[in-house]
Amino acid sequence: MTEEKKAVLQVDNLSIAFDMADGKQTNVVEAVSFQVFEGETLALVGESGSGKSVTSLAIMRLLQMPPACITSGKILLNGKDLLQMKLDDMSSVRGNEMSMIFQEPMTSLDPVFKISNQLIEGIRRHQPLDKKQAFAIALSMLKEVGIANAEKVIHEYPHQLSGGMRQRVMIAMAMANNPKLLLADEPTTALDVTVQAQILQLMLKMKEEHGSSILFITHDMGVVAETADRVMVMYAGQIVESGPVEQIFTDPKHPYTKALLQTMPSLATNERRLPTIPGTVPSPSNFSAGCRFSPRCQHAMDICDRTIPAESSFESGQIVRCHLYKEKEVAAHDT
Amino acid sequence: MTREILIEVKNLKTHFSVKRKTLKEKKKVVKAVDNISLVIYKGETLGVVGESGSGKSTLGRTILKLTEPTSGEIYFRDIPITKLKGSELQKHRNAMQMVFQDPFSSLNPRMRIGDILQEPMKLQLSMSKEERQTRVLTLLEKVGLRADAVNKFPHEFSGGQRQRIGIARALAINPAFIIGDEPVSALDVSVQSQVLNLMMDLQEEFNLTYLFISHDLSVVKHISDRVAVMYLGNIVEIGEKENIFAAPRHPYTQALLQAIPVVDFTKKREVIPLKGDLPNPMNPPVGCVFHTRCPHVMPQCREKKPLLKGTDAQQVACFLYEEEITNA
Repeated sequence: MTEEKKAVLQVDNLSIAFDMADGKQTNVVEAVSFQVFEGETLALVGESGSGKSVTSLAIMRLLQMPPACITSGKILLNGKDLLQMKLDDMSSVRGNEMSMIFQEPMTSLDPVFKISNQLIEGIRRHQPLDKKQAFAIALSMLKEVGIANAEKVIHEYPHQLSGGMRQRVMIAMAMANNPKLLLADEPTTALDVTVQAQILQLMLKMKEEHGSSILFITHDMGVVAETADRVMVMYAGQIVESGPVEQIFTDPKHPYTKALLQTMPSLATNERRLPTIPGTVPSPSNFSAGCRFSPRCQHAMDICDRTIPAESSFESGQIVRCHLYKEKEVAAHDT
Repeated sequence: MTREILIEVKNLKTHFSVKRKTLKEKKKVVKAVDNISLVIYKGETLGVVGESGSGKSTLGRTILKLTEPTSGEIYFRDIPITKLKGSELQKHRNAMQMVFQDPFSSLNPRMRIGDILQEPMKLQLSMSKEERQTRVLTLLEKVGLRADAVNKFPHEFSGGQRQRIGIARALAINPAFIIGDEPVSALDVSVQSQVLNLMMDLQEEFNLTYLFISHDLSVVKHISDRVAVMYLGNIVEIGEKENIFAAPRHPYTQALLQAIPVVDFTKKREVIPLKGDLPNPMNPPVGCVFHTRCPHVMPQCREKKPLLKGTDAQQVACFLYEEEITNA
């Protein structure tokens, strides 16, 4: 099905542990494997504490180590194993082959430098250009991301711009070197809805024009439905379900995905009471040995507490980690 | 349609003056709440929506008199609380409480939950120590926390649990009116729905009146009976929830509803609902505050400010409907 498509990013069996206060280590990301194919938008969804940001930081090699520690796995970007690279070599990859947009447009720009300096620095780091040429690129990038009076804005400081404008500058900066992969960690969470709609559309436009792929990290299922091609749902460090976006929304298989979609307040229903998931996301120190969702799951069985469920693949392209779906039943379910 | 009015706000203005760099500079003010009039009926939930900077939090804080209004009147049970001071004000304030957005910073990290919940009781009523302690236990039970929470500190709880403590504290002295300032915005969706349901249950049980401030229209839709839409310190549309959501009239309300990401694979959304950002509140547009971003802008929008007009079921401040409403 996906054989012909080329993977830009391949994450294999990635586990990340953190040193805890009591001297023990806990796996906050456990055996995560996925691929981002050329030209697609893959969304990584989960609640806070699910390990989605840690995963993205590990891909960028921006994790503080220690306390973090990558205990197993490979991260391949265009075939190169990032985890084997020297940190010096990493900086030629970051901002060049892949770049990142962060949640906080307020804190991710340097307050003491003008927009022009910040953009030019990034461009000249990866391209052999003089200042004038880099400035021209910076200006055209700002125009491309829809900043109305780019000639004026380029000479301004970050505090003179609104949140939406800053996020546009961040996108311009991230896309300036035509990266193959864009990591977007909750890029619209800090923005108002009307601005969010503009930024999402801009990101998709930039992706098309520059031929990049996006790994989109978010907690908002509505945003996922509007932007992603494929979705991965993460819970307490494990990917519980992945698949094409339409499948995930119309026919979710994992009890957590189902519950997450039901609890989402939506404009479509007139129900006053919302369905809830009892309990809260467990903290890494009390993850259960088996399926980590089992303490909150309605369908929990004895086996769920003890063993981690294996992946079951469906014909629809969904991959689910749940004891409800055994190999045989999967076959029966699909026919 | 004779509902009892709990709170009435008349021509309320809250302006903040901005520090000048030099004395020559003109005096600048931010009109965070600019001439707002509204009523809140007993037992209902009035949802206030708007983007950041629209003045919705200032409106809530001004009604509680946590921020002094610049002008205008606030009536609580027909008593003008704007003129009250000291112990007289405190008496009425006891009936009004607030639940804050950030469950991490609104609870004192050095106090045990039991003390946090007793604090408001100590401040006002002549309750004995034993009475206060039993009250704390009933409160904890009401918000779905275990009794052993009494001796714990805030950091031992998750965000959702802390918000439950915040709600319990607001309920401590039997208020009639609670303002929720983005009470679920900092919570994960799965926890958010638990807290929303809790707030609705408590409202039924204690016959509470809510002013629910949020930027999230879908949340407001679930909890509110009536909804007010704010933009740059003004209410641009207010009315029954059903009307606002099914037939929004103001172009801003329409844009706001369109901007929400929806789960719908049958049609692809193409149009950008709104261009640009919220104008600088220090320098708001003359005339209708929304005219700089409005798709239906007319010459008169740049000159005059439209007023809220219409029936109680739905009022809108827009010249598009001026004729239609006056003829009706």
